[in-house]
Amino acid sequence: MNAYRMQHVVRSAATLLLAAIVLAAGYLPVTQAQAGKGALVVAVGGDIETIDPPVTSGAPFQHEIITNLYDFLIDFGVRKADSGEFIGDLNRFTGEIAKSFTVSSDGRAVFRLRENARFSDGTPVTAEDVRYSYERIFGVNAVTAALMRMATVNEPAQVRIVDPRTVEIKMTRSNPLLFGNMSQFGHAIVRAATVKAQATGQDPWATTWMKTHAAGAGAFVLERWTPGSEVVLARNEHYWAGPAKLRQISFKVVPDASTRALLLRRGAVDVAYDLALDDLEALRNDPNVTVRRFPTTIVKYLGMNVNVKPFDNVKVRQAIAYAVPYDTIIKEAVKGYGLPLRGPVPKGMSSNDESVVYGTNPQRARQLLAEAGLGGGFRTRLTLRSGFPVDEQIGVWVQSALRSVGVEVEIDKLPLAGYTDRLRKHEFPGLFIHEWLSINNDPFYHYFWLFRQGCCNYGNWSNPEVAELINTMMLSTNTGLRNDASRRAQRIIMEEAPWAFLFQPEYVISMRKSVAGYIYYPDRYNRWYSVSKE
Amino acid sequence: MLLGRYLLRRLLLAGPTLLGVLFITFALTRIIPGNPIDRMVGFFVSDERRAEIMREHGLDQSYDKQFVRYLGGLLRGDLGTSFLTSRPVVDDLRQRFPATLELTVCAMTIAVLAAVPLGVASAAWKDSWVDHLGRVLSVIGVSVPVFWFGLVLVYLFFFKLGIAPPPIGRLELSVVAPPVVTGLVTIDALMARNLPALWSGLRVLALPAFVLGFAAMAPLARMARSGMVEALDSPYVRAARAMGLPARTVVVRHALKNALLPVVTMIAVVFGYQLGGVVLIESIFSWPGLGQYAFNAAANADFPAIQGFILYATTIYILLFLVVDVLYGVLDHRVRYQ
Repeated sequence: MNAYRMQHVVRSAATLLLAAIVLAAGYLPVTQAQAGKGALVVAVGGDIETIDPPVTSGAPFQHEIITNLYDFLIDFGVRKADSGEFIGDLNRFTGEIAKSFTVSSDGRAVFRLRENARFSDGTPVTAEDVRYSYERIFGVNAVTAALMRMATVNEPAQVRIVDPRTVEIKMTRSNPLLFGNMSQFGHAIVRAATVKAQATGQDPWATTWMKTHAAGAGAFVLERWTPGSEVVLARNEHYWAGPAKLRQISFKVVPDASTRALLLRRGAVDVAYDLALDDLEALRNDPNVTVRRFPTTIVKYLGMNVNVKPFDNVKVRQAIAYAVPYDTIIKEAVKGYGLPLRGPVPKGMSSNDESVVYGTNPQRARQLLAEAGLGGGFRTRLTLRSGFPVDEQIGVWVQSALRSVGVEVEIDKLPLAGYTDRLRKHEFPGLFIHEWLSINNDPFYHYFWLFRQGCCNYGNWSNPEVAELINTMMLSTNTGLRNDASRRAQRIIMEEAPWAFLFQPEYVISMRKSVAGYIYYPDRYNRWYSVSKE
Repeated sequence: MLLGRYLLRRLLLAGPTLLGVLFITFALTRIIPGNPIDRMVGFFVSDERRAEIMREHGLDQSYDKQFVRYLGGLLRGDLGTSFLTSRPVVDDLRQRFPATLELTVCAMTIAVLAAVPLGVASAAWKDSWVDHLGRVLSVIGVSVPVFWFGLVLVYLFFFKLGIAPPPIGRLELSVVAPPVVTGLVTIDALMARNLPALWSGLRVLALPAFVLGFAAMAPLARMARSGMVEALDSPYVRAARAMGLPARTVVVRHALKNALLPVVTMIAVVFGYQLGGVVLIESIFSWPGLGQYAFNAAANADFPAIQGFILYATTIYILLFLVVDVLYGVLDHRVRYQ
């Protein structure tokens, strides 16, 4: 072998060796990259879009971020559950920025502000900040303004400064909806001076700036938001109740549910949202992980567009309600992570009445179809969202059950935007699958959106008597009368069967055992103030 | 000189191509049902307020006016503002492009380095075990779904063995990110002399780049092989052999150079495709690239984002094919630019 060849071989061997070392070193086991004590890492499925409180109508995670960045005058309270743990209660209210609050019979709600409530820059929260926040809510005139008007607070002048530490909200008519409508993200109190400094002639409410910046007095502040990657919150050292236990929370966008589950089991993240129900079994057997499940008041339903034949016929709607395989759907589509829903008002909401229910009864369904003159069956379509595995499963079960009573269902799986378009226009060509959560846990609030002609009555069903009950009772403060009326409304709705009531899904959150102090709130917006990590 | 004139002409022709693509995209986004406003404001707002918001975003105007306004914005370098991220589309693309570029360049490097030798060896030793191995690898590469392969590797190397970093984004959580200059983590880390970040960036890149590279390798290797088989069988190779040239010279100098032409085209096609983002791989590895962005934009009818993305993807293809044409001239002296 000549010298040149020799040199060549040596050089090649050296290169190979170097490459091998590099590869091997790259894959040496490493200690888990944890952000350490006091810093929590949460794997979430998607990013947020905006953090401007009164405008958003997005995913729960977005509302959760706002809820942690801002305090409201009042928030939902907490109660001790039978299990001994604390959980949020949609029927109780507690002061956040308001130290105390009272409501008089003539509809004046008076809020005394906490002396030590401070924005994240350390400046005190004043009555003017509260007043301005509500002026802005009406100014941007989106979701939150609609909720205020629903509680008969129609214009900013109804929110008045009594003294620098006291604010009064005057309802046009005294009603039981105000506090429930106020205990949520849209009612965030913003620092007036900060927002005004960002306002321009064209954008008087600084909506552009507020989409990506926070000006709040919540338990956390926005440390950074890298779109598509992460949202990082740091604790607000000036928080009125003392700084949160967690120093920092990083919400990492991990779009794939299986990846989220693996990250949690491996300890690379502390909490994982929205895991596939199929993955939960493995997680429950993992000694380092807790899978926590809580009841919700979400109603999951199979809607029917009553403007489309033959769903204008009550017998057809009842037949569908008898044909749906309720138990199978709970067992298969949500793997048991749900409760049966027996009527329009979910369990956990007052006046829930289950005196009329539909069970799965194909015999009865066929009979009703025959009475409707459709003994030979009919063809229809079912619209659902693609990328929602539970809905897709429900669709398949409904399809096969309806086929057995002679109804041929064609499934239209639409991308979110296309589905939302049909939803908004109330133009489903037949059946559809949807869900609803009334954040104000009030049956008439619930009926108001769902069972009278209006924005969210996607199947277009209405009934003069129910409409009348909603009109007369929604603002009534007479609890007894209201509950009677609500039970009456439920019975009519059940007879009329505008939907097939499927189930109440459970809220499932999975976390490492090292995470403590978690409190579930039934609006699904986790408040991280109480949480700590060993 | 001829080349310069040729390039200039091609670039001028790119104008009408882009305009056509823009028009089609614009028309499609408007024809397909769905509206970004619904997602933004929900259904609680009154119809009047909804109309007002439509007006604020210029969505109340006739389509031709909207299109002209969009083109006007384009001339000023303004692609509009995304409804989903509330940020200018230009910024969104600029932020996500480096993530996609870094991943794709690594993947393509792996693919080309594996595919060309494999293809050449398969052809040179036709029907030997090398050829069979190449065939098996190619079939696997083409037929195994990338998301499945990705998940399996994550399960194995991250979850079971614990040697791969967590599939969250482009750097490990414990590593301090280098200041953003190019947006390419590895390059930025090098510039900042931040070796831990460079190391972490490479470690995180390894799995997704391998998965993508493996998938891209398959068609390239097959193409290299068939090109080589044909070339090795051609009269000029037989002539070269007959003249007693060493086998290596015949294969590398004469056959490979001719066989490479279609491979180069294929590389450009695969590269362009991957630069458009690879949704499934980005999803599994939580990679903040363009695929996820485009996917979310399409699902939510985010008009400006969809249009911006298609514009970007078209430009990439035009540029890549331009590069291919130039490479053809370098590789094959018979090609003349006119």
